[in-house]
Amino acid sequence: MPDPQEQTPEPHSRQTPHGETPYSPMSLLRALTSNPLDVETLRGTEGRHEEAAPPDTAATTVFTTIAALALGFLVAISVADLRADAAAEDSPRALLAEEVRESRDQAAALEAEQAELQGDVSALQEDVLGSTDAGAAAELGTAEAAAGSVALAGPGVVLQLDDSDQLPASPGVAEGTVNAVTDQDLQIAVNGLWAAGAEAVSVNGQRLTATSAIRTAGDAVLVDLRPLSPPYRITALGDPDALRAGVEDSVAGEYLEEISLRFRIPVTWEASEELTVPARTVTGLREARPVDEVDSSAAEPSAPAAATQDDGAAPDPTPEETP
Amino acid sequence: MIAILGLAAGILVGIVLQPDVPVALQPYLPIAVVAALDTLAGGLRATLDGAFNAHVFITSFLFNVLIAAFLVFLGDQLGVGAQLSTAVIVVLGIRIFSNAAAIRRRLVRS
Repeated sequence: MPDPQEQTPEPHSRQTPHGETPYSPMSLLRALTSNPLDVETLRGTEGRHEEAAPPDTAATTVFTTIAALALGFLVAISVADLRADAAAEDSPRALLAEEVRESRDQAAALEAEQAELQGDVSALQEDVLGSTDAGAAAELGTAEAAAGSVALAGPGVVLQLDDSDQLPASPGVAEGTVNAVTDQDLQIAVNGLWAAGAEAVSVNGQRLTATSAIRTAGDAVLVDLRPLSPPYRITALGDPDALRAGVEDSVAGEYLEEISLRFRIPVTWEASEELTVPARTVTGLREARPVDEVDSSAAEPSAPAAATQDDGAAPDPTPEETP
Repeated sequence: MIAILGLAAGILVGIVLQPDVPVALQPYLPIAVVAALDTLAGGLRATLDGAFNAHVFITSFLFNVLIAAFLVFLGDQLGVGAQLSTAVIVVLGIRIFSNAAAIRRRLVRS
């Protein structure tokens, strides 16, 4: 791209068009504004000075060499240091991610340790009670099974709810809509299973107990504050046929049929002779105390009750569906 | 020639040793690098003009880096370090552009 300066190359003069010498305070700025990419007049005079430089002597050679070494060194370490700085700027995110990963690993390790200790405690309890008080041991086993503090295995059903596929366009429904399973759907299904006589229930590996809560936060369904992702597999231990029949004959069954027909939520049943539900991961010990020590709200239900929206579930020894 | 060799040797030493830069010098590093770039462009232009002089090249290199660093230091003392850094970068950037333009013109013309 030709620029005007090329057609009329000005002879190097000691005066700018404004009558200033190259050393006038304003000349550099004028040169920059009138010809921003070429301070030729200034450089030209410099060039003549350079040509007039005295020939190299031993002293200048030595000085030049030392200065060159120092400058090369300086530039190299500057660049290296600046590059390190620039890389470090990305690091807060990486650091946080690392921290999250570490915390997760730590939590998993602690959980494993807790499960191990729980196992130890149970074994010791059994040892002690088995040799002294067989009745108490049996009672303890029943209570533990009810409270969800031990893993249970046995026949049962798996009721699976999943988000719907992308739906075709229809009146009132935009194309590609996905109907998601809500916390309420899960609550109703779980309550239906309890009502049908389930002995233990878990959702995606989260054991439900008397104090479990199924809630929602954003798009995620939380069970005991742990976010789960679809499909939701509700494992219930008990007589498979009775459980399925009990749910399907109840209001919960009607509700499930309704959401599968209207919202295309896939609802599937699987019966199995060998299912396991894990122990509840964290069990805080809560106990009832006389009224004069604490207020009555600290009292806990003694049997697995319906999984309700609130953690402080109302005592409900005969679970009923919450519509 | 000796200047180029010296520079290359200095860069090699710096890369190999990788010393830690004192924190006090950190604000001057970007300026030093840009000043170095400016001097390199000037040196290349002088070479193409046939007016390259190693001694002049190195002394102007040294002076540019020192003056740029001094300006930033002065700015830091006056509380306008960031602005003065910007000013130095702008001026050096313009010089780099003008030198690059001169180099381009010479190369394309001849």
